[in-house]
Amino acid sequence: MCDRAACLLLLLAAAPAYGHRLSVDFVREGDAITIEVFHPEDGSPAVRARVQVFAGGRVVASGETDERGAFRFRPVEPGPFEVEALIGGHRATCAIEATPDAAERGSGGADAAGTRIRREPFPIVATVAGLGAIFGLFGFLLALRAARSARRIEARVARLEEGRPRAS
Amino acid sequence: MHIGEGVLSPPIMACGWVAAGAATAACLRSLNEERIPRTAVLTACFFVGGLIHLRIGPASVHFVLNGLCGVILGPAAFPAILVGLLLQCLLLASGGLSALGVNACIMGLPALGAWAGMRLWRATAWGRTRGGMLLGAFAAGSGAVAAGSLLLAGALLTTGDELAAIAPYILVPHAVIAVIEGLMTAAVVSFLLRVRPALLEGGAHV
Repeated sequence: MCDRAACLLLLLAAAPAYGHRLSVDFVREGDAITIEVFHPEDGSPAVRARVQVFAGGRVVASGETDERGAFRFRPVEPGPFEVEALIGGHRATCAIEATPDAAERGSGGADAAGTRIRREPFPIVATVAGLGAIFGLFGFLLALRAARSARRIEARVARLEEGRPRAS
Repeated sequence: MHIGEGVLSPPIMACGWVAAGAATAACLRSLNEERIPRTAVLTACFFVGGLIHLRIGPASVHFVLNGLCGVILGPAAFPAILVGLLLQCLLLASGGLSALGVNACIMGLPALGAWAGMRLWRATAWGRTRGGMLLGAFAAGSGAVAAGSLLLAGALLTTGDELAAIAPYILVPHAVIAVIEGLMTAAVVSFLLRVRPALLEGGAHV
């Protein structure tokens, strides 16, 4: 539960800058750490993103991601580290804990084959909810307008019938 | 094409809200019973179009469809886009709520421009022919995206970003999207001209 809240906070911290969110994740490989920067909507890597790694407010590594969105560095200290990635106004951050465990990994998930899941699932529930809201709103608007014009027509008919002499 | 929370300065966001509010108030009058159903359909298209991401170069961009909204809905395109953006913001976390006014202007004003441009074009001799209509629709569809990306770049320049940093992520990918959307708009207009020309804003005379 606490993890989930932390994840949510992380997501909020990496809030969209230009509509496309940016995410940053890391993998430890032996004594090196690979930072991976990507767009979660389609899992595409953020190429040539600017990466800065901080330890206690001090920059310990910085550079640009390669064409796979990766930036690799060898920490000389155990950490913990704060990673910041910037690309064209997008900004994402992540924290790397000090645990020197070789299997340590970031917030991203992994599928059975061990390859990392980069792509978020299509937000199908939100899409259906949005479409429902759109058609509901305009349906409501239409009902209001229709009721108003029905009242207007009724009033006109009533006026016409008043003016006309009784048929019988 | 959505600006997020905490990117713009408060005065810019306030200007965006005022402009979006004024435009919505002015445009809501045109939303009569006849136009409401198609406004709903186009709002849905706009909402879903924003979910379709394309990867172009280093950036990933999505469809905007503001030109299409403008050509088919006329002034009703602005409230349609505002509703679509609000839902994208609330449900899909794209764009910030405080920047909604600016975002609505970035995408909605070009839609109104597309409608106005299309009307002017259809008043000319060339614009009345079928080919001229399709050409106009292409220009409206692509022009609206291009204008939107320029407005977006302008809004980001006020935050102190440099044009050289913005261009590869905003202007270049949207030029590609603009061409695709121009073709889409022309295809939709071509279809509507055949099956129901009255649906196109500006009347049935072709």
